[in-house]
This record gives sequence, structure tokens and C-alpha cells, in this order.
Amino acid sequence: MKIPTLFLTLPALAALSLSLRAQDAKNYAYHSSASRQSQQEIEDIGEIVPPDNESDGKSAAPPPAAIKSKFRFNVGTREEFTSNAKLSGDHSSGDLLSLPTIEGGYHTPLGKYFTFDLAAKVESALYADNNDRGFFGYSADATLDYRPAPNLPRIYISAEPYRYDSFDTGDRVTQAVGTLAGTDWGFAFNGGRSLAYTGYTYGHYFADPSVDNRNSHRVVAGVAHQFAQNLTGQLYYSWQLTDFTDVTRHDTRNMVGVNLIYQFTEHLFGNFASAFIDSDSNVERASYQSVTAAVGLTLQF
Amino acid sequence: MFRNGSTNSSTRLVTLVASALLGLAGALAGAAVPFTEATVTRLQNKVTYGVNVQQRRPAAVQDIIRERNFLLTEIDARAELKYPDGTIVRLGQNTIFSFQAETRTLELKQGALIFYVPDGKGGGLIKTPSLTAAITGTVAAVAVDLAKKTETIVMHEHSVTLLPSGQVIGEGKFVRKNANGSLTVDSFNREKARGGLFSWNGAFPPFREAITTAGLAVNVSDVNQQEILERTVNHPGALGMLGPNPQFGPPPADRTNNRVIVPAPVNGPPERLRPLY
Repeated sequence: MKIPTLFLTLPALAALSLSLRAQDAKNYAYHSSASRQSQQEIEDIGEIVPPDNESDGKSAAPPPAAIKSKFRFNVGTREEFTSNAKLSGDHSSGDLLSLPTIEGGYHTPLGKYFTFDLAAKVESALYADNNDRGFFGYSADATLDYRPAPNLPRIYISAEPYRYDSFDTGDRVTQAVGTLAGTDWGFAFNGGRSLAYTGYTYGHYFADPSVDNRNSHRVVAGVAHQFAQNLTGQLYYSWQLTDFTDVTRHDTRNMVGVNLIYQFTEHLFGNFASAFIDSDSNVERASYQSVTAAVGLTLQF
Repeated sequence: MFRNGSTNSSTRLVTLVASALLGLAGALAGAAVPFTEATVTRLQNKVTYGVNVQQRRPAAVQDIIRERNFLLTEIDARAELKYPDGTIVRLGQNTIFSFQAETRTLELKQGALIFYVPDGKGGGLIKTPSLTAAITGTVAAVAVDLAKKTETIVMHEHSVTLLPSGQVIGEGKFVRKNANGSLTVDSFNREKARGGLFSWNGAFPPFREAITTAGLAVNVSDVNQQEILERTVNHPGALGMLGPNPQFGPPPADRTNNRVIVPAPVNGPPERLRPLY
């Protein structure tokens, strides 16, 4: 093959000469028209066009992947053992839970610094023993975030409506609209294979029944590491203060956990997670400790 | 547009400056870990590994590619290489790629690639037939279209410095050498500049997107899962459905003595504060 031959034998001086001619600083052309790319090039690196979509009319249509990447659709299931299905007392009600979830989402940049994400989720919980705890629910999350630069913290606001109904009785358990604001920041190190992160979120929930109205403050910190191309793990700690506004109840929850995510294929992810939770409340029945261990599969489109 | 009528003296001067800059870049790059070898971490369809022009064979995952070896991908073929310092290169279709060790130079003869060079690892050079750029920690895409006679460097993160001119191509900008020899420098639409190589074999670069796409997020999904279980089992509304009235804690004035059951005051709390479950 001639091309590799040329490539391997091309004198460095010739390349230098070419680059010298091409890079005469006086002769840069600053214009917005983009040369047409081959379809293969677009498939591989995307379409290179100005931000305002100006083009010379010759550019090929954006690849389907560019549009598809805005949307996501996940189907997942999670099998979880918990030492405390009733979330009351200490490790006194071990149970197995099945937690299937279907989620659809849309993500798009808004200008240079903002992105918007919309997610809708249908989920349920099936308890092996404590059937009366089972539920199915619907929730959504609309988040607008602002990141002034890739390495600076992200600031976001979001709205989260949800509703959960009891499998046992068919009655509504609770519903609410949460309004949240927060910030988070991640720092990549170890050649980009490790990430330390931290974040804070404040939320207020307008709930029905109103006894669930509450303010919450959550702090999360953790370290994630990519052990292999397809295997990522993380260790995290979360602290949350929940203050119910219509009743005299204040909860403080500490949670420490680990998880491993393995990417089987481009679309299939496996997950193992374990956590210890200690929630302390001034309402005695609401205080609990539990340990969980879970495995899950997520099919992501 | 560049002019062909430059004087010999100016060309010599530019050549000297360019040589000095290249030497400096090489010296700086040389202080870092050389690109002595890279490991093939993933392949798709027909990819050829060439030790030299005469010796070539189908590439295989875990092949070690050394300086001056090359990889050739054919139509609908792709390959990924990983260097010991964490640098990752993904090759697109119909691409010919090799690298030089000491100067940490990634060379693209034709086709397309994206690369990620971690911060603080010594940077290096990216080279196409007509463009040479000094890189530090960078995420960029590079394309050489021999049919259209165009060469493009697209800066997704950080910046590169074109050599020998010293022109900086910042984040969010691309530089293209057009068929007529002119250079175009402009911003690009980031949303559209996300070809298949960015998601092939996982998020690229590691973590910047993986934190959301693989379920890793600062808003840890396991914490959210626990929150949902609390909403349906542990919060006041759920407790009201699931069993007898729980005992509320003391009023706010006596919170220091929590967990102690305090009888309701004689007058009782306002109606809206009465236990509802």
C-alpha cells in the first residue's frame, strides 16, 4: 500500500515545509462557512459547523446519532436485599425487593453554558415479605444547569413532581412537587481515571398529604475510579437533613455506600451496590438503621 | 488565504523559528513519558496492524503498537488505543495512524480520530500532512480527507498551539486547512460535533460524561433510591397509611431531649400541627 509507504518515509522536513506554508499567520481566513465533510467523517467526529448553524449550504445533514444522543431510554431492574424493609428500628425486617424502572429522558445544551435535562420515570417496588410496602410510582425531573467552564462547579435548579400508589390498597401513598437548587463539582485525577466529587442540594417539597411538606439539605461526597475500560467503582458518603414543616419531625440521615458499574456492551450496564444507612429522627418510629446490597441491570438506548 | 509569493528570506526566518519551536516542543515533550507503545483495547471490523510496509497482519485486541508501527482501519472499522499515561486514541473509518515516541507525536495520515491526553502528562504533538499542533491536556478530533484535500483539528477541551505560527486554537474552535490551502478558524456547534467515536466503547473522555451516562453522578443514584423508599415507607404520609399513629417527638422548644415521648400540652397544638397519622 502506497499510503503507509509514504507515511512512513515522508521526510519530516517536507512536512515541516508544508505546515509552514499552510500556517502563515498573515493568511488565516476567518469566515463562518464550513467545507463539506465526507459522510464517514461526520459519522466519526460529527459535523463541524458554526454554532449558529450557519453553513454554506453544502453541509450534509446532521448524523442521526447527533439527534439520537439527545434522547435516552433506560429499562432497568434492581434486586435488593435490605436488613430493614420497614425503615423503622434497627435491622429488624430483612426483605428482598425488586425495583424495576423505566426512564425516558431528553438532554440538550442551551447556549454555551446552560444545559436542560428532562426525565420521566415509572418505577415500582415489590417486597417479598412486606407486601403492604409495595408501590408503583411516576416521577419526572426537569433540571436546568449552568456551568461556566468545564472544570468549575455546576449550579442547577430543578423541579421534581412525583406520585406513588400502594400496590396493596391501590391508594395513593404520597405525591409532591419538589423544587431544588444545588451545586456540585468533580475533580478528575490519576490521568482522568479517578474522580473526586462533592455536591450540595437544597430542596423544598410541596406534598399531599401536607404532613410530607418538608425542606431538605443534602451533602454528597465521593470518589469514583475507572478500574478498567468497562468497570467503574465508587465510594460515597451522603448526609441529609430533612425538616418536615407541618409536623414536628426532623430527620438526619447518614449513608455510606459503594457501587460497581460494569458495561457489558454499548447499551447494557450491570450494577452492584451496597450501603449502610443510619437515619435518626425525633419521631422514634421513623429512626432506623439498615444495610442494603443490590444487583441491577440497565439497558440504555 | 496563504500567499505563495513569500520571499525566500522570510521563509528561511519562519523555518528557523519553526525549527526552534519544534525543538522546544520536542524537548518539553521529551521530559514526559515517551509514547513508546500503545495497547489496542478495542476493534471493530477490519483493522490492519503494520510493523512496517512489508509486515502487516490483522490487528487484535491487546496488540502492542510501537513507534512507527501503524494501524489502518477500513470501511466501517474502528480501533481504540490506550497509552500507559492514560492517553486514549480512537480511530475512525479508513484511517491511517502512527505515533512517534520521544516527541509524543500522534500522526494522522488520512481518516479521522479523536484523542484524549490527560492533563499534566507532558502533552505532545498532533500532526497531519499539513498541520502540526502542540498539545497539553486536551480532548480533540482530527480529520484528514485526502479526496477533498482538507485537514481539520477540532478542540473540544483546552487548546492547541499551531506550529510554527504560534496561533492558539482555543476550546470550542476548529482549524481547517481547505483544499485551496487557506486556513479556516472558527467556532463550531458542539452539539453537532459529537460523532460516533465519542460513544463507541464507552464515554469519551473518561468520567466527564461517564458520570451521567453510566449512572454515576454527584447526585448518587443509590441515595435517590433510598430517598424513594423513605417517601413510600418512612415519611409521615406513608407511616399514616401503614400502621398505628407514631409517637411524635417533643415540641421544638424541647428538641434537645429527643426520643422522649412528651404528653400533648393541655391546650394542644394548633390543628394543623396535630398528628395526622
